[in-house]
Amino acid sequence: MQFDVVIGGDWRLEGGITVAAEHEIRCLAAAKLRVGLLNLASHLSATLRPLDPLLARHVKAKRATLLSAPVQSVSTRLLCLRHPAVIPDSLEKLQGVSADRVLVIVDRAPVDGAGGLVYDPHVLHALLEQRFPGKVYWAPISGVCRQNLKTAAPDLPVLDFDWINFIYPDEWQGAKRKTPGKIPVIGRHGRAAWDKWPDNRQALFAAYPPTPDIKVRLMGTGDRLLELAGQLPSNWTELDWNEVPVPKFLQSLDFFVYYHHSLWVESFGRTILEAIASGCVAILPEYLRQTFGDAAIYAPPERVRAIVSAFHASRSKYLAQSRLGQRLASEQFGPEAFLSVVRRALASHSPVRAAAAKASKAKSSAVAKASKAQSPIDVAAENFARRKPKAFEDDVASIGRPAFKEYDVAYLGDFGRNDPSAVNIAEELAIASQDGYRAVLLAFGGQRTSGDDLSPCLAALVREGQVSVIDDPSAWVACRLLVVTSVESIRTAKAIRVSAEETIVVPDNDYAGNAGEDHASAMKLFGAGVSWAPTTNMLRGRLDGKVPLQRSNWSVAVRPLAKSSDRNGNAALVVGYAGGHRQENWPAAAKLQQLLPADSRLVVHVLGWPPGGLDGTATPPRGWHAFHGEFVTLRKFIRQLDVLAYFPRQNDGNVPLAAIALALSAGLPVLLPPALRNAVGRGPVYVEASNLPKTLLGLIASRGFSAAQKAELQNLAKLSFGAQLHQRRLAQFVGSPVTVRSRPAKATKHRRILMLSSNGTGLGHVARQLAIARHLPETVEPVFAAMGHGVGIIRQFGFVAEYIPSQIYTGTKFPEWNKWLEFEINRLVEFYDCAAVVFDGNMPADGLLRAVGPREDAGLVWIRRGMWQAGQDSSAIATQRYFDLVIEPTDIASEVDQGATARAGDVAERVPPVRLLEASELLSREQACARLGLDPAKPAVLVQIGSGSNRENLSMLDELIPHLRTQPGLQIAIAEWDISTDHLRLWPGTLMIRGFPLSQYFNAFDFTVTAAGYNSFNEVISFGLPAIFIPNTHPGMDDQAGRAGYAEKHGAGIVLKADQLGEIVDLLPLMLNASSRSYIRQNCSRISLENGAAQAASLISQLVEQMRP
Amino acid sequence: MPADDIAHSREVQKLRELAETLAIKVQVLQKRLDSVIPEGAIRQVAVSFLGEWPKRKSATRHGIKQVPVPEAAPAGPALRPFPGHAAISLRDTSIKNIGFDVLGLTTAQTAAFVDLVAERQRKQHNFVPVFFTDSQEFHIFRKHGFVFEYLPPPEDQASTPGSYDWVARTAERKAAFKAKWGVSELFSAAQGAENAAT
Repeated sequence: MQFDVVIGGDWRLEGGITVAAEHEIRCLAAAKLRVGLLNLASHLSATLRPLDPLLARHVKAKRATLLSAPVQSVSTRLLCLRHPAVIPDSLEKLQGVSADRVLVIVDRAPVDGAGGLVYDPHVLHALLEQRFPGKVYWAPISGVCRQNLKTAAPDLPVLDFDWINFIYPDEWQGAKRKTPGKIPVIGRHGRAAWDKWPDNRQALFAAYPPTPDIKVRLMGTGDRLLELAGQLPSNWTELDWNEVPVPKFLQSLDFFVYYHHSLWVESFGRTILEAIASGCVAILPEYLRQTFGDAAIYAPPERVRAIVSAFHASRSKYLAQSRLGQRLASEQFGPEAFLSVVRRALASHSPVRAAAAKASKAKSSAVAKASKAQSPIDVAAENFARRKPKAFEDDVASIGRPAFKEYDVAYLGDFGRNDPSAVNIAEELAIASQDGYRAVLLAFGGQRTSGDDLSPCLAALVREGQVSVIDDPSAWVACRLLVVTSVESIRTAKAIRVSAEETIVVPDNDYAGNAGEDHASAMKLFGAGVSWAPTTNMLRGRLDGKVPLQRSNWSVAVRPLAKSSDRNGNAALVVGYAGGHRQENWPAAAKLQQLLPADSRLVVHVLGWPPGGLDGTATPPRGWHAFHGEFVTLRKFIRQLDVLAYFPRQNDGNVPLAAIALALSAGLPVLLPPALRNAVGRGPVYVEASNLPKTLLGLIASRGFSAAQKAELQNLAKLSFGAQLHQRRLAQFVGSPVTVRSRPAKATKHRRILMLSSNGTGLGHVARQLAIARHLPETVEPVFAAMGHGVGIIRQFGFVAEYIPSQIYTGTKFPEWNKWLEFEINRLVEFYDCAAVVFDGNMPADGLLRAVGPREDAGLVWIRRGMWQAGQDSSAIATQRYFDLVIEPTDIASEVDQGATARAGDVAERVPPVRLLEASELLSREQACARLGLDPAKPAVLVQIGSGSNRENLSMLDELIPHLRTQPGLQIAIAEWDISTDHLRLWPGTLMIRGFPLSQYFNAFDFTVTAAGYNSFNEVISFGLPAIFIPNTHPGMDDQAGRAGYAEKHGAGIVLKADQLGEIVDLLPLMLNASSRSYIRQNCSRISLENGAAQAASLISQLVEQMRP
Repeated sequence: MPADDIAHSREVQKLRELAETLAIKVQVLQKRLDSVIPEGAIRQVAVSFLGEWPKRKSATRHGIKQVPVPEAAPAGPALRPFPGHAAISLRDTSIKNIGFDVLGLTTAQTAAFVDLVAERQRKQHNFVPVFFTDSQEFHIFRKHGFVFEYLPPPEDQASTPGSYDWVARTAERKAAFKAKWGVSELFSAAQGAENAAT
């Protein structure tokens, strides 16, 4: 289909824009132009509504062809898009439209009266340019809009003439205008919106005097008028909207007087034009001169009465102005004028004013206020001196100028809640901090929070020094912008000593308080400059008319999320659900597993769970991975996903937009029900709940999204939820940051990591970490923190080591100890500036997870050896989900591993067994014997049956040694563990060896009697030392019996049970026989594996690389 | 308190007293044994790693971020330390904890001081010691079952600068030590030795 003009907009909505479209169709059709009416249903109306009857009439009469999305094969010379706010929802619907030129009709000013962005022209332009490259122009409908657009976006291509709104003058002129009667009648009509009335009672009565010498007639008033006026003055007449036909109403007026709230900007003023066309003398605010020129009188409201009086006194003056207005309305705002505009727009030459554009990008953020000359402290001090806000009154007598702490942005609220709003705040704070703004959390806004009890994502920012926190309500704080995120904090606060140049209340979407009362409370606390910014249109609707609203919503803005890899070649698809603790955010428990069915190709991650259970179901379904919000940030949670899904039981408006935005910014598919389309917009895939399983299976088959799809998602996420949205808010409300953030130090290639080991019974954890540390590249410097007692050994290898006393050793209670562990790990990470914490141990404590899990500046690695005993408590395995990297040093005996790690899935990166030394580093027999004082010509045995921490080894030694002494000439050496507490010297004639690493001296011995711990076993087998294994079968140990049995099965060692030590007598001849030992050595060589330390080090280095500042 | 709980508490206390007595006996017997076994009858040798080990430059030589010294922030309620093997019956009592700063002492000085404190505890039975040390000879404390905290010694500090200076770090650690273990007094052994000398 071919058209001359296609007019696009949400034509289900009534109002001035629809009236304008109706006029345009009528006019264009009369001029024989082919007109298409493209209906772009948008989020502005969530309900199903028919086409507006005004327009439907023209469609029926074939003056315009209705084009409903999706549109196919439509070609037009001019595509006019009305109401810019619908554009983000409309791009898909424009797929089938080709146009020679696209005009964005600026019928809503982008910047409101307070300087707030109603919509972002840059974002919209970028969206449209993607679809219509080089063809998009901006067309203001008035001088007001033109100037306003120039302020918001000076660099966009703008028509050099206005796309005027017009009227048919004949429809308004009616009977010949008479001069006013004895008492002049002033009045106005319009929709009953809060911001259509003056700011206060004084201004209201100035514009519409409550005096008997003037009659006031008002049509379409609303509650706000009554709030302002109290009782209606006796000279006022109030009519409901459309109570009488508008032309008739206007004929009853002599003067059309129109003043509104300072936050409102009248983009055009159709009602004004109608009044002027009807012959009323219009009295208006000065700024509307740009639109109506000489057709009206302009003055502040205080002068209205005098002007009316003057015109009333002079009949000729009144008629002259009335006729001038009618003539100008006809000439400048009639159909001919409009057709002229259309012809110019259709012309082939460029209709664009040279975009001043080239003006620097810095200027493009012209919405930004210049950095204010006066500091917040000076402003605060002035407020204080003027004894306002009220909070300062009590102190004025006793204090001089208070010692204010100065910030650019302060947030007041309840920051202990670990919910999506905390994530939103954290993202905003991070954006502010990165741009150099000084930000602070005033953590005395809730009942439950303090500086020590912050939501993890906020606590992480505080730790990282990106934001300060003040939890003392008596502190004096001066800031440019105060964002109140919890209305509760307004209600509960008695006196907050916070002075802000601008205070914006950003309530939760489920806010259901008395907005008027809360606003009054806020004014008492913070003075006059308080406004509200809802997060959604739904909430805006609830607040409209009750409080002064910012024109633009306080929308979610996030930093982009980098996802390092995609599915890693795994067949399974990881689908995430970030439902949090609100029951409403989850589907009914019965439906949950229908939506996300059990399928081996599907791995489900859930973040949070309703505290009381989901419909009585205490925990997520078996097999799902439940993430606790204390241990992980939303960013880290999303990073592990392939897909994000969200299918709440009801759409109550509390959509986790931050999660959706982060997922989109990472290029992940986001699956949502169609009911959320209006709330979220473009980007997600909208599917009915019943189709979700099928969609997920499709994603498994297609291996997720293509690179191009991901790039598109990321682009959309940037436009809709990017950091620039908040940066513009900061520029608008705060101006430039006062402090110039120093350029970050040149990124160093060198980073530190913290090697944290738990309190083991031996030295296994520390030995593995030392082995790995040895292979780290020079760019990664390890610092150690041991919970056991191997600090001396670590120092021996030239590393700095710290010590954190373990819960077991100190005999303390776990919950309290964990709090201190969290504190200490955090301090270590900060002091040593660590990019990762590498934990070696079997049980990651909550304190570790709380300290590092939510950190964005440090990765968390778990080195977790296998061979757990089959019945061993495996609950710790579930914590692997909080780690950025899990490394499993495998075991020579992995084949017989029956423990929990063998069933822990594919999470771990498996590397060969990790050991400290290579065979080439062992001392020769002669060297080792010389060091130990042994005779190399005589047989020698090394007895190393453990540290005695959890096995009574004194009696074992006392039983073994006499048996060993039965072998003539056998030299007996007993290993003393450095970490052991008992150093009993009881067996004369033996050699007691202390120190580390004993394995370097293995060649001094013919055989060993040894436990079968990870290190001992792997070293003995790898270095071919014939062994009699006495496994430690304590329930807390690894599967030493399994290891020893494996060696015996392969002829690489012999097992001796602890309760059969006497049988060693029979084994000793074998061990002292060279052929037997040679046989065992050969078998050891056959089953031994390479050293995995270098591989583990490489994996850690790669993670550190990702954590670069 | 129910009768069963009372009986249980009494049994636990009795076992603790037994463990305490046995621990003291082991210490006495070990002392006696050492004097009985002839010198050299049991050879002892200490081993260590021999060979090349990567020597690393501290990352700070290349610059790490500098941050302000964090404000003192107690992480939670004070912990009740294990009272020591020879005073295990003091466990779960509200007896006072005394901090001992043994930074800067030699190994021998530290060992002598800790033994002295252990002996004093055994006799007075009215305090639980917690130590703050820069010695890696942890067995000095472990043999008594005493709780201790460790600060890397000056030579380690010199080679490993942090995000803020070590003087501040030491002060911060000491403040955390006091808060963590709820010590009513922090006695400086080095200061005490100086005082004694003068």
